[in-house]
Amino acid sequence: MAKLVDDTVLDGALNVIATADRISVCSTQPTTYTEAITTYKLAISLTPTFTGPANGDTNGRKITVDQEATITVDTSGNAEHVALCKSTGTVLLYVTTCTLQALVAANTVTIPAWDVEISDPA
Amino acid sequence: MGDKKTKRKKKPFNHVLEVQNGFIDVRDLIRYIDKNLPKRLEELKNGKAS
Repeated sequence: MAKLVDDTVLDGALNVIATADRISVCSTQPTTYTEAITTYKLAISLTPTFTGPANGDTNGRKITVDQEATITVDTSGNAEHVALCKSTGTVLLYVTTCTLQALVAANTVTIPAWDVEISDPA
Repeated sequence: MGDKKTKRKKKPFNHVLEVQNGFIDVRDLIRYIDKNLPKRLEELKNGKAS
Protein backbone atom coordinates (compact mmCIF):
# COMPACT_ATOMS: atom_id res chain seq x y z
CA MET A 1 0.00 0.00 0.00
CA ALA A 2 1.36 3.42 -0.98
CA LYS A 3 2.23 6.01 1.64
CA LEU A 4 1.00 9.58 1.57
CA VAL A 5 1.73 12.81 3.41
CA ASP A 6 -0.08 16.09 2.98
CA ASP A 7 2.02 19.08 1.91
CA THR A 8 1.05 20.92 5.09
CA VAL A 9 2.92 18.33 7.17
CA LEU A 10 6.19 18.86 5.30
CA ASP A 11 5.63 22.61 5.03
CA GLY A 12 5.32 22.74 8.79
CA ALA A 13 8.93 21.66 9.18
CA LEU A 14 10.17 23.84 6.33
CA ASN A 15 8.46 26.91 7.75
CA VAL A 16 10.41 26.45 10.95
CA ILE A 17 13.60 26.76 8.90
CA ALA A 18 12.19 29.94 7.39
CA THR A 19 12.06 31.56 10.83
CA ALA A 20 15.86 31.87 10.72
CA ASP A 21 17.14 35.43 11.15
CA ARG A 22 20.85 34.62 10.90
CA ILE A 23 22.79 32.98 8.09
CA SER A 24 26.49 32.44 8.65
CA VAL A 25 29.45 30.99 6.82
CA CYS A 26 31.49 28.76 9.10
CA SER A 27 34.93 27.19 9.09
CA THR A 28 33.85 24.09 11.01
CA GLN A 29 30.48 22.39 11.38
CA PRO A 30 28.73 24.21 14.20
CA THR A 31 26.65 22.18 16.64
CA THR A 32 25.31 25.10 18.69
CA TYR A 33 23.98 28.60 18.04
CA THR A 34 27.06 30.20 19.56
CA GLU A 35 29.39 28.15 17.40
CA ALA A 36 27.45 29.17 14.29
CA ILE A 37 27.35 32.91 14.92
CA THR A 38 30.57 33.45 16.86
CA THR A 39 33.05 30.60 17.37
CA TYR A 40 33.29 29.32 13.80
CA LYS A 41 31.74 32.29 12.03
CA LEU A 42 33.64 33.78 9.09
CA ALA A 43 30.80 35.92 7.73
CA ILE A 44 27.22 36.55 8.77
CA SER A 45 24.05 38.19 7.52
CA LEU A 46 21.20 39.19 9.83
CA THR A 47 18.64 39.29 7.02
CA PRO A 48 18.26 35.89 5.38
CA THR A 49 15.17 35.58 3.21
CA PHE A 50 13.30 32.56 1.93
CA THR A 51 11.07 31.55 -0.94
CA GLY A 52 8.44 28.87 -0.56
CA PRO A 53 7.64 26.26 0.55
CA ALA A 54 7.07 24.88 -2.93
CA ASN A 55 7.07 21.49 -4.60
CA GLY A 56 10.37 19.63 -4.36
CA ASP A 57 12.54 19.01 -7.42
CA THR A 58 11.65 15.30 -7.47
CA ASN A 59 8.79 15.01 -4.97
CA GLY A 60 7.91 16.32 -1.53
CA ARG A 61 8.40 19.97 -0.66
CA LYS A 62 11.29 22.39 -0.45
CA ILE A 63 12.16 25.83 0.78
CA THR A 64 14.72 28.04 -0.95
CA VAL A 65 17.18 30.13 1.01
CA ASP A 66 17.55 33.21 -1.20
CA GLN A 67 20.93 34.42 -2.32
CA GLU A 68 22.87 36.55 0.16
CA ALA A 69 25.19 38.73 -1.87
CA THR A 70 28.44 40.42 -0.88
CA ILE A 71 28.47 39.78 2.85
CA THR A 72 31.58 41.19 4.48
CA VAL A 73 34.06 38.53 5.57
CA ASP A 74 34.82 39.21 9.24
CA THR A 75 37.45 36.53 9.77
CA SER A 76 39.81 34.83 7.34
CA GLY A 77 39.46 31.07 7.10
CA ASN A 78 38.21 28.14 5.03
CA ALA A 79 34.47 28.24 4.43
CA GLU A 80 33.05 24.73 4.72
CA HIS A 81 29.57 25.14 6.18
CA VAL A 82 26.59 27.45 5.99
CA ALA A 83 24.32 27.68 9.03
CA LEU A 84 20.83 29.04 9.66
CA CYS A 85 20.00 30.24 13.16
CA LYS A 86 17.16 31.83 15.04
CA SER A 87 18.15 34.42 17.63
CA THR A 88 14.98 34.00 19.67
CA GLY A 89 15.74 30.98 21.77
CA THR A 90 19.27 30.83 20.28
CA VAL A 91 18.47 27.89 18.04
CA LEU A 92 20.74 26.37 15.44
CA LEU A 93 18.16 25.39 12.85
CA TYR A 94 20.03 23.93 9.91
CA VAL A 95 23.58 23.40 8.70
CA THR A 96 24.67 22.50 5.22
CA THR A 97 28.02 22.14 3.54
CA CYS A 98 29.76 24.15 0.87
CA THR A 99 32.77 23.43 -1.28
CA LEU A 100 35.84 24.49 0.68
CA GLN A 101 36.97 28.00 -0.19
CA ALA A 102 39.48 30.23 1.53
CA LEU A 103 37.94 33.54 2.55
CA VAL A 104 39.97 36.64 3.32
CA ALA A 105 38.87 39.16 5.93
CA ALA A 106 37.60 42.49 4.53
CA ASN A 107 36.66 40.81 1.24
CA THR A 108 33.05 39.88 0.60
CA VAL A 109 31.33 36.53 0.10
CA THR A 110 28.14 35.62 -1.74
CA ILE A 111 26.03 32.67 -0.65
CA PRO A 112 24.05 31.59 -3.73
CA ALA A 113 20.47 30.41 -3.31
CA TRP A 114 20.12 26.84 -2.01
CA ASP A 115 17.28 24.53 -1.04
CA VAL A 116 16.21 22.41 1.89
CA GLU A 117 13.98 19.64 0.63
CA ILE A 118 11.88 17.01 2.40
CA SER A 119 10.94 14.07 0.22
CA ASP A 120 7.60 12.28 0.21
CA PRO A 121 7.52 9.00 2.14
CA ALA A 122 8.39 5.96 0.05
CA MET B 1 52.90 71.93 -11.60
CA GLY B 2 53.48 68.42 -10.41
CA ASP B 3 51.54 65.31 -11.46
CA LYS B 4 48.60 64.53 -9.26
CA LYS B 5 48.40 60.80 -8.70
CA THR B 6 44.95 59.77 -7.64
CA LYS B 7 44.93 56.75 -5.39
CA ARG B 8 42.05 54.46 -6.31
CA LYS B 9 40.47 52.52 -3.49
CA LYS B 10 40.90 48.79 -4.20
CA LYS B 11 37.54 47.03 -4.58
CA PRO B 12 37.28 44.02 -2.20
CA PHE B 13 37.26 40.61 -3.84
CA ASN B 14 33.89 38.82 -3.70
CA HIS B 15 34.08 35.11 -2.96
CA VAL B 16 31.16 33.04 -4.26
CA LEU B 17 30.41 29.83 -2.39
CA GLU B 18 29.14 26.56 -3.85
CA VAL B 19 26.51 25.41 -1.36
CA GLN B 20 25.05 21.91 -1.27
CA ASN B 21 21.25 21.57 -1.06
CA GLY B 22 19.90 19.80 2.01
CA PHE B 23 17.65 16.75 1.79
CA ILE B 24 15.61 15.50 4.71
CA ASP B 25 14.33 11.97 4.25
CA VAL B 26 10.95 11.48 5.90
CA ARG B 27 11.96 7.89 6.73
CA ASP B 28 14.76 9.28 8.89
CA LEU B 29 12.24 11.50 10.68
CA ILE B 30 9.96 8.52 11.25
CA ARG B 31 12.85 6.37 12.51
CA TYR B 32 13.80 9.15 14.95
CA ILE B 33 10.22 9.39 16.21
CA ASP B 34 9.89 5.59 16.54
CA LYS B 35 13.15 5.46 18.50
CA ASN B 36 12.33 8.26 20.90
CA LEU B 37 8.56 7.91 21.28
CA PRO B 38 8.49 5.14 23.96
CA LYS B 39 10.90 7.11 26.17
CA ARG B 40 8.96 10.31 25.64
CA LEU B 41 5.63 8.64 26.44
CA GLU B 42 7.15 7.23 29.64
CA GLU B 43 8.33 10.70 30.65
CA LEU B 44 4.89 12.15 30.01
CA LYS B 45 3.29 9.32 31.98
CA ASN B 46 5.56 9.92 34.94
CA GLY B 47 5.00 13.64 34.74
CA LYS B 48 8.68 14.33 34.20
CA ALA B 49 8.34 15.86 30.75
CA SER B 50 8.15 19.59 30.31
